[in-house]
Formats: sequence, structure tokens, C-alpha cells
Amino acid sequence: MAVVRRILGALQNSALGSRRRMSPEQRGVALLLAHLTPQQRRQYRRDRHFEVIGGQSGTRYRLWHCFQQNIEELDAEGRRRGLWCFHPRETLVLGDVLLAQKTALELFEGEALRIAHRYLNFGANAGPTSRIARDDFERTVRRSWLRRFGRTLRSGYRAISPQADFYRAARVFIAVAAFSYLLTRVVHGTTLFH
Amino acid sequence: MSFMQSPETFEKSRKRAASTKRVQIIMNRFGDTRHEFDVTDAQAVALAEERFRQLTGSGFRAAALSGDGGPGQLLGKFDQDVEQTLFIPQLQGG
Repeated sequence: MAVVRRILGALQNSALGSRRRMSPEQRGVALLLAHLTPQQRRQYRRDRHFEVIGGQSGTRYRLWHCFQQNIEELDAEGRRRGLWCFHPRETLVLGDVLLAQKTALELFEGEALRIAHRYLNFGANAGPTSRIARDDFERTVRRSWLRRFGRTLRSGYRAISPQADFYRAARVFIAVAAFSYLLTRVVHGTTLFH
Repeated sequence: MSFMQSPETFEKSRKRAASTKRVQIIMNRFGDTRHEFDVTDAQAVALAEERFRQLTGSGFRAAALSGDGGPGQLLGKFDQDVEQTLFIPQLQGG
């Protein structure tokens, strides 16, 4: 029980500490991810967008990881009907902008669309398929998720064995795993190298 | 596609807040600022209510977050039973 308690405590400390160490962009993404449904979260991590149902009309919207013209209105078949663009008046990080757009569409859709601008197509250099948007996603969403996972592993390991060197243990684990893989291949007589 | 949350689910998430801790999340350019308070502390509740009034008075929209990612609820006035309140700055067309 003591070990379990120590692991839970370390994970909690790690979560609080990592929030302080995060950049504003990563904090924004963390806030967004914490308030998406599991399905939306999966979709966002995989495709750089997630879908939201308008609270008043029931219309489906696709919100892209991008600052401008990032709200696609979809028809029943999932085809684009048009694009909408609205965002908070204050300068916010992208995660916050997406959460504000999601909340607005779900809770006060009519008002949000009244002030929004409508477009037919994504902008050439500023749309969600642009390099800037893709690079930003890689930097703030994918990498931060991997870093958090790494930190959780390290702090969990340190809680079990505070004196041990995590990186040394990881190297030994990888060496043993590689050796056992090779051994299995040799025992079964599989050709290793062509 | 079942992103919609029924009003019952929202009520359940409110009742689930057995803890007395509440948080107000204000979006800003640093990501967000969080103000935590305890509902058993009358002074902290009064401060939170004052903050709510100031922010909504300056154009922020307050929304009660549901906790499971579903739609929350728009708040017109301060409610100390809401576990997480999100403050969204005024919106504009882009």
C-alpha cells in the first residue's frame, strides 16, 4: 500500500510540476484536451481537428488546429458547407481559442455565428493544411503528449526506487529486450539479416 | 456522433462534486489563470463572486464545464455549486 501511495503522490506532484513547466501554448492545449470528450480527444490527436454539435441547430462543425478560418460547417454526409471564423477579442493561445469556439458553438451558437465571418475556402497560406498549422500542432500537441508520458514514467519509477538511475535502468531494459528478441530469433532459426 | 450531453448528465456532474474545492479558469495569453476557492470559506466565496461579477461585467462569458467534455451550461449569475467555471473573453469575427 505504501508503494502505491508513493506512486500516486509522485504522479500528482509530477502533474502539478509539469503544468508549471509548460509553455502557454502547451497549457492551452492541456486545458482544451481536459475538456474534450474521449472521442473528440482521439480525433484531435489523430487528425488535427475534432467535431462539435451546435447546441441550437444540431449542425456538425469541424474545428481545426489553426488560428484562422478554422471552423468547417458540415452537411449530413460530412461535406463542407462553408467556413466560419470567430475568436476571442483578446490574444489567446490556440488551445484556448479552440476551447472558446467549442464552448460558444455548444452554448450560444446563434450569437457566435452572428458575429462570425463566413468563407467558402481555406486561405492559401493560413488554413489548417498550411505548414505553419501543421508545425504548430507537432510542437504543442504531439510532443507535449510524449513529454508528459515520459515524465510520468520517470516519476513513477523514482517513486518505486528513489535511489536508482532511471536512464540506466531504461538502458538495461532495452538491452535485455533486444538480446531476448535476438535469442528468440536464433532459437527459432529465423534469418536475422538478408 | 453522440457529443451532446443531456441536462441530466450535467446535473449528475454537479452533484458528483462532493469536494468543497471550486475553480475559476480565466483564459488569457499565458494559457489560463486559475483561482481556487473553498465553498466552506465565506470570504473566499465572496471574493469569487466579486471576480465573477467583474469579469462578466467586462464582457467575459462564464460557462460551467461539465467535466466529461460534454456541453456545459452558460452561467448568468454566480453559482458556488459549479465545480469548474470557465471565463471566455468577448468574441469577434475573424
